[in-house]
Amino acid sequence: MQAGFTLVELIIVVFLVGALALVVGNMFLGQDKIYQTQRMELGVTGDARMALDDIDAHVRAADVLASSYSGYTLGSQTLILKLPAINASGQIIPATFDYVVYALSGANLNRITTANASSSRSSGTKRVASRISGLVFAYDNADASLVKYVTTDLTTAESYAGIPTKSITVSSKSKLRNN
Amino acid sequence: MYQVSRNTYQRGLSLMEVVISMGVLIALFALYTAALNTMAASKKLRYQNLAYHVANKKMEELRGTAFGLLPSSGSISDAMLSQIPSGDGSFAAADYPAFSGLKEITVTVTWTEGSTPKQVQLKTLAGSGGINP
Repeated sequence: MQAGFTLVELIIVVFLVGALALVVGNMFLGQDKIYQTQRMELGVTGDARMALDDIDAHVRAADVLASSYSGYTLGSQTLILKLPAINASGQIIPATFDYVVYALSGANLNRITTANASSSRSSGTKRVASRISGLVFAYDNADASLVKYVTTDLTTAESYAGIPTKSITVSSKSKLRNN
Repeated sequence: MYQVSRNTYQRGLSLMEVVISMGVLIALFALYTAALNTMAASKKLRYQNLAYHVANKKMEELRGTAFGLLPSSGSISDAMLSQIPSGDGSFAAADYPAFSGLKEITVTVTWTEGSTPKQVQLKTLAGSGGINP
């Protein structure tokens, strides 16, 4: 009658458990890496696209740029738009304006809307994107009131230990209404 | 009968054991490859996204160009193209058939994925006095 394991059996078991742990551990770490890479990729591209689309949509609706508004100054990282106010059915209210400011706060890009009381736009600050690592607004004229085109270059980036940094640079050019 | 089977030594693995272990291995492998596939898919999306932005930017520029000054064709130079594998872009403004004073603007951005050629194409019409009534 045999009691307990023989040495050979023990060695085999230890070896098998070790090999399995290695394979499963590797897979687990690999999966985590894939997950993090994917999460960063989606976040970075999604943020860039969202920010750019939001800026484009507002620039196209704007009449003119303002050189300064409530503490903000127009510049390469701050965009100040003067938009005609719209009523509930989307029609322009004459001689009434809303102001939209795009400004960075750390790595976050915020859209600060100051709507006229009669406008259907709502005032407030909305975070358009985070993970911003580079932002440049360029204007085709040094005089804010004469600008026709706004070019936006936007870079979003995110890094995570042990994985190459994910980043994307997108740019767009949009035309103001210039009524 | 019961006594006999209890004292019989089993040699090797039973079929059930082999089936279960194979099943577990296959499931693990399937999960792993599925995750790798999403990597390829997100890369594809990234290039499409960039190509679209290149085309969109050029289109915005051409739409703002006066009708008489529209170049008949040209290539696009854009920093975004360097982020796409063999990214290249071109545009053309051709007379729209059977209409005078109307041109069709086509902006095309091409790139390759592995060895498969891909493209994004945007089209619009431009009129000499604006085409909206």
